[in-house]
Amino acid sequence: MNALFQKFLSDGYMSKIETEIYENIQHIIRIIITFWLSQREVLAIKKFTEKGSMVKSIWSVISPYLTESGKQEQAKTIAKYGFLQQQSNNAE
Amino acid sequence: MGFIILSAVTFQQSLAQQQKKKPNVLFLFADDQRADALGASGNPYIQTPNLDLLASEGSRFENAYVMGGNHGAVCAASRAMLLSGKSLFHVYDKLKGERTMPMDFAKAGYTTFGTGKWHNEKEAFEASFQQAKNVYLGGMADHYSLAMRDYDENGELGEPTFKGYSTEVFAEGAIEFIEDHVKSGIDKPFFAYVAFTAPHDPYSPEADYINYYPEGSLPLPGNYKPYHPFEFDDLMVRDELLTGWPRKPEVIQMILSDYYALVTHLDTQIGKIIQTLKENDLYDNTIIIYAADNGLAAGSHGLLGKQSLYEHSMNVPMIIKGPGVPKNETFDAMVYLYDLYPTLLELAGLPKPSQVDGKSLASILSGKDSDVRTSLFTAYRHTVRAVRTPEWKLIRYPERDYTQLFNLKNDPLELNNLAENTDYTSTKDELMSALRDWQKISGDTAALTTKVIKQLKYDPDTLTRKPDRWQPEYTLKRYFEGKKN
Repeated sequence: MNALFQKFLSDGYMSKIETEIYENIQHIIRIIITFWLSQREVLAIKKFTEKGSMVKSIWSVISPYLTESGKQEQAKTIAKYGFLQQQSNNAE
Repeated sequence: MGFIILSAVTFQQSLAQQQKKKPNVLFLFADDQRADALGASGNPYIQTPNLDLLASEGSRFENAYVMGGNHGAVCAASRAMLLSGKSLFHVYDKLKGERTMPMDFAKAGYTTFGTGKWHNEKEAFEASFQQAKNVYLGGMADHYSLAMRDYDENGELGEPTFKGYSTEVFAEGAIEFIEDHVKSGIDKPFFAYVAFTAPHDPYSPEADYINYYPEGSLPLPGNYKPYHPFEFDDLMVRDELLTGWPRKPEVIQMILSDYYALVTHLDTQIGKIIQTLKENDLYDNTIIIYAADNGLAAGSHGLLGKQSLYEHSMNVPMIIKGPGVPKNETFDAMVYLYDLYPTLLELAGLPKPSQVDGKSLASILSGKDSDVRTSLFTAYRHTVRAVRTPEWKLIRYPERDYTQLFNLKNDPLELNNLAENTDYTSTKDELMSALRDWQKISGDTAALTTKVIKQLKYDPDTLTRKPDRWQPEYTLKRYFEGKKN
């Protein structure tokens, strides 16, 4: 995930902020993904059990740190993949 | 005018012949696929576009089950039940001497073909299929080096050779058969059985699919646990040794990434087989079944394998598409894999088999019935028994004198055991009674409480592991090297 963040930075999609904050964001995203299904069993709030809510939550964490071009890229990605489809690493 | 009438009559006769033409059967069988490892089942994290399309053009049974197993290789019992149509206590792994589903199709004039995994005796395969290509005799192996056999001039499976990545070789075998069948011009329908070895471990995806799901990108199962909360059967059975204890979140996520990649690659190969049917104008008149032999824990309840009776291990994907099958339907009837034997015969218009325990699901597909049974029984060795209804599930561990009771409507992940809650005493008693009834009609003689009761409590530090002979370098590096256990 760190490599992905470094790419966002070098592409100008993310603002330059303190390293500690980047690390925190990465860790928060990791927690969201890893325990998304487990938290639904404990905190069964309808809004956060709907399909796509995991991806929306991740975007919410990243959004404040996106530059204007980052926001444009985000909009394109959401338009292309929505909040449901996982973007794979492979072309096929 | 006479010419026009003659043409119209000829066309109508041809149409009637086409309509009466027996449908082909293409049976696609996965190995160790959880029912929820499928886009069509509502899993947003896995990509299975071809299977999802198949489900939308056909029907899906969301409560399809394997009845269980006599030993750790649940797949052997599952396949024996599927192919014989008999329940767990009426057929064992060995199919020699048993009447099988493909035999009935052959008797009705079908050309029968088999490719892929066969775990129920070589002779039984040879007795079941007229044609064969790329057959793997065994339970599991490295996907990159499976020993494949073809029929020799005597119609027997010959010496094995190594041909390539398992899923692709099996798909190629099926495609070649379909194309050869068309080229032969034989006016006979076919029954093709394609038994993949994916997504069974070793979790080594085809090279192009490695990192298809980046590590850490998939959530843990909602019922992930680092350890199983109590001891039952053998917590060190082979499948449980693929990672150490506690089950680390990052390793379970790694397993899921590889497991899902195996499924997605399988989906791609299935897409190629279906495309072959379409190109040869066979798609509409072919009944296509997609199912798996059993599920898999993959981190659920602190387990990895299928040697339990939790939903993740017994619930399997089941899709049927073809003539007589409604489109885009999902049925919640409780069904067994071995119901497919009488179901397929009925859908194909063949005589009803008399020797099977399975029930035809054709009446559900036609909308005549909503179910074929009111409860469903599962069993694993002599150590676990379970019964479920549409709402409840009771799991009994005779050796431990321990019972679990789950409300599947509210708790589909089986996390909240209500067995000791006095509000549900009558429900528990009813289910225990249903369990005894099922044992009686199934010929299951196992005690529901053994004479010697073993402890539930165990020390996870005593659990140890080592790689088996099937692990390729890829999985050795990822799941074994550098690990303490």
